[in-house]
Order: sequence, then C-alpha cells, then structure tokens
Amino acid sequence: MKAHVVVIQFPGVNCEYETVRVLESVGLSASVLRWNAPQGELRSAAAIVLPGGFSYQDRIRAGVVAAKDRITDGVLEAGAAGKPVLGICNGAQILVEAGAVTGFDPGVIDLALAPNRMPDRSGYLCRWVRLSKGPAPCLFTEFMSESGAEGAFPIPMAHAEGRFVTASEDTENRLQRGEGVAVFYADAKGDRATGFPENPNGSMLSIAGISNPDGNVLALMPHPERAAWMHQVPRSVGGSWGRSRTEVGSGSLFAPGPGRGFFESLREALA
Amino acid sequence: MKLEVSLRVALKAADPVISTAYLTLVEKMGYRDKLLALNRLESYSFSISCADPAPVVRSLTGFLATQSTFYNRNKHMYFLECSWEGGRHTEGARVEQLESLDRQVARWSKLDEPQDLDGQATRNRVMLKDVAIYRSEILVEDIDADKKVAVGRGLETELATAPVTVAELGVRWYLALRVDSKKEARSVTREIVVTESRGRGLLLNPNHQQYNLLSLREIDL
Repeated sequence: MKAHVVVIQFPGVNCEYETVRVLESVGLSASVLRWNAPQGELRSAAAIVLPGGFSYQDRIRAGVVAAKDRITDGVLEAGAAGKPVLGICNGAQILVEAGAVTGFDPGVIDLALAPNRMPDRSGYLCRWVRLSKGPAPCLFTEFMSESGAEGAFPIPMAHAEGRFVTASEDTENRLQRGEGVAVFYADAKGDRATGFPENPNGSMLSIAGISNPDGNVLALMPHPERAAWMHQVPRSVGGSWGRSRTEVGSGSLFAPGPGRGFFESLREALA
Repeated sequence: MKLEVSLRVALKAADPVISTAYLTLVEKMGYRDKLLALNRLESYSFSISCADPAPVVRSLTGFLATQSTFYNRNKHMYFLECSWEGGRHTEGARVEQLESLDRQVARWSKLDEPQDLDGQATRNRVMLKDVAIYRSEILVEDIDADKKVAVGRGLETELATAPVTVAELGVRWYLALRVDSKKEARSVTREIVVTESRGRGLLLNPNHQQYNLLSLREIDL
C-alpha cells in the first residue's frame, strides 16, 4: 500500500496540483486538502506538504496568516510526532512564521524570511539557482551528495520574501555551526554561494532550507516540484544537469529532473 | 535650508490587509474582547537640504504626480506636507481622513441599536458602554536601513537635489483597544504587534522588523 501524503491548499497557494503530480510520480499516494477541511485526513496522512504560492495574498507578511490557521495546529503536531513535513516557498514561509523551524527554542519564532536583498533592485525574483546539501541531517536531502559540482542541484526559486535572517544570537551561532542548515545556495562548483546571483536573496549563510533538529521538517525556499522532469530544466543551467538536458534532446523529456530527489527521499523515508 | 517632507498613503478602497489582520487577531488569536478596530497607512518622511525650497517642492510634487514610487493616484489617497523655515505646503487628503479610527469608534459608540446582518444585536454597544477606549499608533519598519538609503538615492536622482535623508519608511498601524488602563493598552499593543510565538503577535517579525509606539491616548467618545 502506498504511503499517503496530504498537500494543504491554503487560500492563495498555486502549486498544490503540480506537487501532487510529482508525489504520485515517485510512487506515493497524494491528495489536496483544503485548509478549512476536517482534520481527520491530515491526522491519517503519513506526510504533509505545504505548497508554494501566496497564501492569503501574502497580506501583512508572507505566510503569517496561514501560520495562525487551525489546520497549522495539525501540521505542527505531525512534525512534533516525527512525520515528514515539507514546506516549499510559501509553505516554508508558513513553517517559519509558525515556529516549526529551527526548533532550537521550541515555541519561539527565531527566524524570518525577510524581503530579498539584491543589488540595484528589490521585490520579486525568479531564476534558477544551485543547491548543495548542508551539514544538518534531513530526510528530504538524503539524495544529495555532500559537495562538488556534481552535487549542486539546479532548482528554480521564485519569491520576494526569501532571505533567512534571525535576531537571535544563539540561533545565529547554531546556524553558523551548521545546525539546521539542510540546504544552501551554491556556486558552479557546489560550494556555498558568496554573493548575488548565486545567493539570489541575500539569505544569511546562503541558506536555502532549514530543518528542525530531528530533520523531519524542512522549510525550503526553492521549488523542487518545478524541476522534477527533464523537460522543466533549461539547457542554460549548465553543469551535469545542463549536459543531461542537452543529451536527452526531445527524446526523454520525462526523465527525472534535479528536483525529484526531494520527493524520492520522502518516499524512501516512508518505506 | 532644510525641507522636511511627510507623506502618508492609504488605499482609496477598503484595505484588505487591514481586514485580514483584524480577522486574524479577532477570530484566530483571541482578541475579540480587546481589539475594536484597526487601521494602517504607509508612511514616509524625509529631509532635503536645499538653498531654495520652492523649486524643490515643485519638483517633488511633479515627481509624485507622475511616478508610482510612493503611491498610485488611481488607487491611493495621500497626504503630503512639506515644511521649511517660514513656509509650508500641503496637498492631498486631510491626514484626519487617513487616520479615521477615532471617528469609526465614536460612530459605533453612538449607535442606538447596532445590529448585524441577521438582525441580532452586535457586541459593539455593550463593549463601548462605560469603558475606556485607547488608541495606539505604531510605526513598523525594517531593522536594516538599506531600503531607506536606496529610496534616498533614488529621490536625489529624480529631484536632482542635495542629499536626501529618509527618516521614516514603514507602515503606521492604528489600534483601538478596549482595555482598563493606559498601561494595559501599552502591553496589549506590544502583544498584538510583536510576533514572538505562533499564538502571540502578528504585525511584525522581530527578526527583521522593529516598531515604535508613536502615541497612546484615550479616544474621546
């Protein structure tokens, strides 16, 4: 029997159906659950995904209103119980505003996803970036190699508020030690990005995704579901994935793309 | 000579951010008995060093009329005040119109039989009878000053003028609170504003934003 994953549809999200499609393509069962639905299905789910989009139109701050929703109680309970919870982009913003990550000081919101900081521009940015595996253990990043060019995964990002920041000295110190850092923005060699555009939003320590201490909850800003098949990958991403894209031509456009690994790792964790 | 400029901007139509924030605080966070009303407007203030303010004011109002850096005339109302030694220029909506919270609360307090859409008596009359209503005004800004510097440089280029110092760039929130004392009003304001945990605070995330309590007073009903 396939493990069932629930994808929560808050008002204003827009990536729930492609997320379901990717989950199903890796061999999982998945369904969309509306934010105001009874929570029975949420409790019976093996894992939860909060998809990307603009919940509540990003009013006040991205993710903050959905973080106060009753269904988020169930998401936090599932995460605390050890179930896998993945927040993608707006989902990551919801997890951060709900205090689900870092989890260093339970209940305290010690992170923010602040507006992007970019040279000579502000606001929304959409581009392909490279990701490498961070030092923190996380069940969603098991597929990634430790470092090196072949380990840098091209994934698209698309957000206006994606810069991880903290005002907590303790949290900053722990992040600098690598705690919670599941994924970071990388350069062409797979090393930690040092500036724009490799680090597309000025995120501290070039962090792209932060997990909780148990590694079962991940707040990930880029969109792996938009890089799940080769036809979604532009040749211009370069590296081994760019070469693969060029080699497949129009022949195997539904071959696995670089983002699929996040969902395959989830499948392995649920096996 | 120093030219001081203050600009307040609000939507002409109902602002959905206000209603979402109000409903979140009242329905999801338990402030039904304390938070009566909420309002917000965008707020900018900056100073410009110049020899003669008149051409700078003309240049500034001309820039504001054609650019959407601060507001769009099709959907926003605004209040602009320029002041300098020996002179003052204002235009746009009256600031009282933008900060309409007092009138809103006062109007509720005078309703004879306030009813909701189902004809049931609402709680407003009970809540406003023989109680003190406090109004707090706060300014929420980003902690880092990068944006202020960038806006200042942009204005320097557009106005072809001397250095522009941006002193205020953020959102002013106005809260009407039914509480017992000014001390409690101050405390509840902070509770509502600063997001410390999932159940406490909404209007700013202290990891990248800060607030100033600009004023706190009892509303004269």
